Amino acid sequence: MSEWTIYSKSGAAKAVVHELEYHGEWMRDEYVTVTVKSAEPVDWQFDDYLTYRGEVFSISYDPNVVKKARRGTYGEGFTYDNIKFYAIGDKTRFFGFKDVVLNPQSAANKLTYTSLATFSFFCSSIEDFADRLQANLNRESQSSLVSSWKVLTPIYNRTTGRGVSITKSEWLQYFELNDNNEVKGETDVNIDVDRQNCFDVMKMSYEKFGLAYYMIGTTIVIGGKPVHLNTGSANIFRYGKGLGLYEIERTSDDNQELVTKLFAYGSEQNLPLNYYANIGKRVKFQITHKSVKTYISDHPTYYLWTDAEWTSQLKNAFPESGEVVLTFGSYSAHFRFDGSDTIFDDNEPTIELNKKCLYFYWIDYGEQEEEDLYTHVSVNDYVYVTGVNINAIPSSYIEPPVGYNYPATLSVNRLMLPGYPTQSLHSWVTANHSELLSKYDFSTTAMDPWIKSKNLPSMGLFEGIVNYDGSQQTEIFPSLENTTTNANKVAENTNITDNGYLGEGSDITMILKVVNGDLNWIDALGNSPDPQGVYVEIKSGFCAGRRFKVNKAKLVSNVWELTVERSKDDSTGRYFPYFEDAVSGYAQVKTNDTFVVTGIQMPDSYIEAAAEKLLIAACGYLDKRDHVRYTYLPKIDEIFMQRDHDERDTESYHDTIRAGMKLEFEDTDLGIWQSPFIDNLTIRENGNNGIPSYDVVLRDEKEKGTLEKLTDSIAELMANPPVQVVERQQRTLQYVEYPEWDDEGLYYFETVNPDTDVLETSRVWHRGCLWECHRTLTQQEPWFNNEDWVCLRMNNVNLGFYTDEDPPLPILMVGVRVGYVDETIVPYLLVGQEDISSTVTSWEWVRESGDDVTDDVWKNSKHTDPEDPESPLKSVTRTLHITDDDLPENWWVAGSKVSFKCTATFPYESGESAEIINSITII
Amino acid sequence: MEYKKLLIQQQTYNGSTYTNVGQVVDTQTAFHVVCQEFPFKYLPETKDLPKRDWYDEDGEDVYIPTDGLRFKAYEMEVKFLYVGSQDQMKNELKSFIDFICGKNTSGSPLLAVYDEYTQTGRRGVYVTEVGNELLTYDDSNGKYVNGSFVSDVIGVFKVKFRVTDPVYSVQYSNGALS
Repeated sequence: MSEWTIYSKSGAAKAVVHELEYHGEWMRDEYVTVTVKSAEPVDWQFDDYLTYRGEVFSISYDPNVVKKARRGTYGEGFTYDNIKFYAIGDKTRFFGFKDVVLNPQSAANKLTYTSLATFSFFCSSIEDFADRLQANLNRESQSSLVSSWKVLTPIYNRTTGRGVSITKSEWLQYFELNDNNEVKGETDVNIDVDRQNCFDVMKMSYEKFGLAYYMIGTTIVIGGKPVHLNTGSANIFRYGKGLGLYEIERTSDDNQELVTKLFAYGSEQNLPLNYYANIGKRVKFQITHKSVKTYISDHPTYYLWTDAEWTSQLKNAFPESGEVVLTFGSYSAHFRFDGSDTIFDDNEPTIELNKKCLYFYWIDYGEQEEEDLYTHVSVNDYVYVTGVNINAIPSSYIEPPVGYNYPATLSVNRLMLPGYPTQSLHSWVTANHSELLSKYDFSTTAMDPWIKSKNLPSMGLFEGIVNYDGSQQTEIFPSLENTTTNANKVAENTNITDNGYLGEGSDITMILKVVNGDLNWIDALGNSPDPQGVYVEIKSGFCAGRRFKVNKAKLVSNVWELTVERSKDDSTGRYFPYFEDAVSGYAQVKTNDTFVVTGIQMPDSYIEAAAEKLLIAACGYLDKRDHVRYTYLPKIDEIFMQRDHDERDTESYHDTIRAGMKLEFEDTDLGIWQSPFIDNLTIRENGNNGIPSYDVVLRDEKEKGTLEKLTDSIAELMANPPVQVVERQQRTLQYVEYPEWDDEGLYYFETVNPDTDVLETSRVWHRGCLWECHRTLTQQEPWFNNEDWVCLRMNNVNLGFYTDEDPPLPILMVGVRVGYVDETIVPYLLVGQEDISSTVTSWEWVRESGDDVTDDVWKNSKHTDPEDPESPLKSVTRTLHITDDDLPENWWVAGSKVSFKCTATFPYESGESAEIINSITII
Repeated sequence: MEYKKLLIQQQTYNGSTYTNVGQVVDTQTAFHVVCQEFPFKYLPETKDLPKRDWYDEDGEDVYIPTDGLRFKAYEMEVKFLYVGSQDQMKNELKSFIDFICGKNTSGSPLLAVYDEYTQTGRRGVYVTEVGNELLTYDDSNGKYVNGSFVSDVIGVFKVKFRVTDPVYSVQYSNGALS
């Protein structure tokens, strides 16, 4: 039975306990609890400690006590129940996370700091975040139990750069080789801190950067490679004696929302007013007369007068500035405004907005199109105009949608699934995402888009509604984000020269230059449906998350120059961007920083792109809810664990298991194979009659808080398209066993069997062995010399002894005449009656006469390579030829029999070997 | 009549070491008390072992500790005889019970006990119960003293002990139990 001594920080023993409970939660608390009963009160001090599994756990509070008797009168007079000894990593809880940096103001690092406890900072990657963490942990001299903290991250040079002393090989124990210094996790993250401690802020490495971490003593490993408790496929935990698990509990999630038919909606953001009600409608004016006048020699001016009476209502339909497009047949002309009724540019066609009617004119500068447009338009023809507010156009000038059939009174101002209201979702998906048809059913009614899971027939109907408007899920709306062009990128660094602390009344505007893409910023400003105006929200770089209000736009040399208002940080009162010093310069918005735009009416193409994004997100949403989710609770066999510990000591599962590791287990009866993380681990030392017992809670990922759930990003869904999600989540690998191998049979390795739609690895019995297929549709016969198959189990395997005659005859015992011994024994490895001796990789014979010394001499003489007697390598001799020389002197007098033991080693399972031993006796 | 000795020594135990207190006491000499039977066990019941009853396997899977089996503490009921004079019986029995319960001056209730008859001794022994019944008999083997026939009284009573160290064998040598 184990026991643990509790020491004071000076090293004096204070108490001995025989029971202890270890608790570890992934990326949370790690501690042990003990109960101390004493006849005398114990003078507990901070940093009293014990050592468990090689790690130090210490007290950081004054334990509670129950007194039941006078001092010295009763052995349990003073009971300290469940004293918590925390792992050393818990001491980070006592470090406030402040605005400090490593090496401030050094030549290489011009970062400044305020030492405030409420502040925000920008991290281009987890490496910057780790630097901040290290800087905070370095702030104070450490206690007697802590010499220094080490924050390790996936880039070796950055790790050592923060002052951590670690060799590359030591670092590689925690991380994959990363010679390219590839950044792991999310980038360009803005962190807000409000009087938090290092322990809590550390959680942001997972919540903000998506990188898990763990602590071993004072070493903090962020974004390390997953650590498997099991060391390979041979050590997968399974149910059964000696296999690791004694029970597997499968529970379904009672609180799970089941959805097999989904209605999905997006946000109202950036959607033109009454957008869906106007799809297919066109504004048309009839030409009443036309004329040509020549004001400039050889440059006639063409006039087209329309029937549109120039009323205030019509005038409101035209943008104050921007562009409308006149279309007639295949001809079109773009008419631009600058905010007045005057000609915008002599070189461009113009709309004259007089007080009587709307007419267009343009000057012929020699382009054929300029003449063609006029020539081919006849009086009474219609011209079609876009770029105007169709809602403000009198109905007499609106042509009903042709070929569309939706109610005239339709009024929807929310982003809908693609096709709505003019095309059914099924029809749209067939044309654009046909790969989804095998996974889902889509509505065939244009006005009622929904997505059905293929599981609906078996599960039943469960309708669900999801709004991607920022309340339930991340907002989806038309934007320039995620376009494949550079349209959402900054074209040039900002050039702010002040430090951002601006007094009242200061000019807070700046020029932001952005790439000229599809968006006409002048139109966007003129048509903004949002009374708050148009905003640019920076998504990457130092100013990530900052929003700048756009006041003006101007296209100069094919770059948009936006006049925007700088963004004030409420916690520091500082305006972003700002100028720090000549070296840093990072406090600016920089070239190629990305952004999204809000408060604008987006072109149709962006609305369609957003609707497509909505569809993909909705499919992913349905994937997570169209089947019953199970949680598996495997129960660990403590006897198996103890035997493992007896054998492997500090390398054992007992000494190495910890929260955050992956525990691989499988069960063919339940059809499961899982490799989840250990989220919670409890070890009760001496919990089962003297040996430890274990409780584990497993999860695929760390349970997130409410806030993190809301930020389940669409980007993640886009990165993992629903087709793959379905593949991964709906199909659990099943091991399908066939009674007997068939040379025409179809066998699979981790592949979907099309006949059963099951993700299958086939197993088949053949020649007394159970084989697992390792190459899909192999035609090879399962046997040991064939890599397409791996032997999992042998029935009736034995090692037999035979003569060297043909046919060989079995030998059970050899009787000899002294002085005339001459016997040849050939061992055969058999499965049933099948000879598999050819698979044996080594044969070894030993003699057992009762005299170990001469038996060793015999073994060495038989196994030394005769070509090289000094070689430590032994020859492999299968056939044993026995003469009188092989038997001890006077053996027949002493014991009258001698045994020869043969050991055959042969491959068994993937990469593993097995041995079988048998003996034959000479009498 | 000659009786085999019952030797008792008071002890203390600090969790790792037993320390003798006072002298070894021969109960017959000190209190006229001898034991009729002292049912020490050579090895008592083993401690419970970790085991699992697999439903799909025969028998059970039991873990045998690598350092061998361990044994449970146990209780035993000892039958004592008081063989002495009627006049002294009350005082001597009281002194005996006080002694085995550690109520004597500077005493300790933890005992090492050695039974000369069975040649067996144990340490870490303490009293859990003293029986309330005392059966007395006249000793028919009386004798004449100064012309008068004098016979001892025999009192029978029981005491329960708990043996906390069921394995260690106490020996008597050089006037001490160890």
